[in-house]
Amino acid sequence: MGQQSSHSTAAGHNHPKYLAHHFESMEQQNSSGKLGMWLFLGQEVLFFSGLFLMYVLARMFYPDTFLAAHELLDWKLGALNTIFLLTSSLTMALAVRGAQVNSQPQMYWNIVATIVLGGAFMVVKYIEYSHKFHDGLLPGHFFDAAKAMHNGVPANIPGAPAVFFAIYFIMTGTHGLHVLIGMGLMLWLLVRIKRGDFNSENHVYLENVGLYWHIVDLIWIFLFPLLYLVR
Amino acid sequence: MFQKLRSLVLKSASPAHGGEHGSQPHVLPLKTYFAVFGALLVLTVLTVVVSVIGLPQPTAIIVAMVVAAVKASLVVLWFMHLKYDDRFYSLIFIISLFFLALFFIFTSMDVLSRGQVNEEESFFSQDGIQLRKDFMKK
Repeated sequence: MGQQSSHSTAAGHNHPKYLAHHFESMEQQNSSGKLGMWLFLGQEVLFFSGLFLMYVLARMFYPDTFLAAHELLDWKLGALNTIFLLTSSLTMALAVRGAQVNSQPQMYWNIVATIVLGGAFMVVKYIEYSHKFHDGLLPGHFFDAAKAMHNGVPANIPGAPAVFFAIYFIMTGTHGLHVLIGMGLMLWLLVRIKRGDFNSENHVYLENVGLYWHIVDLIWIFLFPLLYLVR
Repeated sequence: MFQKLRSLVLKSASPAHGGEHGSQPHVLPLKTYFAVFGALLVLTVLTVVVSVIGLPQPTAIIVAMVVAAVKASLVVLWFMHLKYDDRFYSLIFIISLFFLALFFIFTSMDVLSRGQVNEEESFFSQDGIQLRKDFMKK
């Protein structure tokens, strides 16, 4: 860990080979990268706050709708997805730890596990979505209570069930998009880990993707009780 | 420049775990990660149980949100290393939460008090207005 991977440049000065010329030290380079990521995460919090506020206001106006409509979501699938995402957060944290202790296999396989768990989350999401599409439990004017009743789903809900499903699809859809983006970023990480780009002193890319993945998990931690466990 | 900015904002720019400087990261023991993960699973079970036993309404949502907030804190403090990282990142995160609170409070104040100004002024349906009245009475 103590050893510095340095190389001499034409100019004759020594510096770690990952250090860009406009930074003074690896510490400064890494903390600048992370500062940028935290600013982005702050933006993510504010971005999702609009969706959560929409949920709060709609629920204030249609409390009965929310109580009745959430029964049409399968909390068991939601709980399964919560476990997938929490476990993927663990493997992601372990991947960053793998970088800290300079272990290529720990980085690589924990990222693989994180991608697999993210994929499992999306598969469950796909199953849920296809049921909703099949039963006509869709947002706005696509909501089809008659079709749902025909399929044996008690969709005769007071108030505005179409609003509930609009919120359900917008919130879980935006979240799912984030999961997909995170999986794409991790595929890129795998390439870079294979290339040997990351080690204990240079892994801010890995760490930043990790931070992004954890914030996605964080949002699901709030979405799960709000959408699936309304009671 | 960031160092200077940071030390202007906060006196203690160094991470919380003592004067460890340089680019060497702070490595947490594996058992810490598994303990946090275990706690997250237990809290998930707790949320589900609280929902299934069916507490009365205001209590149920408060308990669910407190549990979610505890889970979120575990993720942020340990998985995202905020507990051990530069305090400046915590500051950014807390500022975003502050603006989130501001957004929620002011919008709710507006929407909830609009009926007091003018009964008719509402972008929601008639039964929505009725539901809101019932909500306000409680």
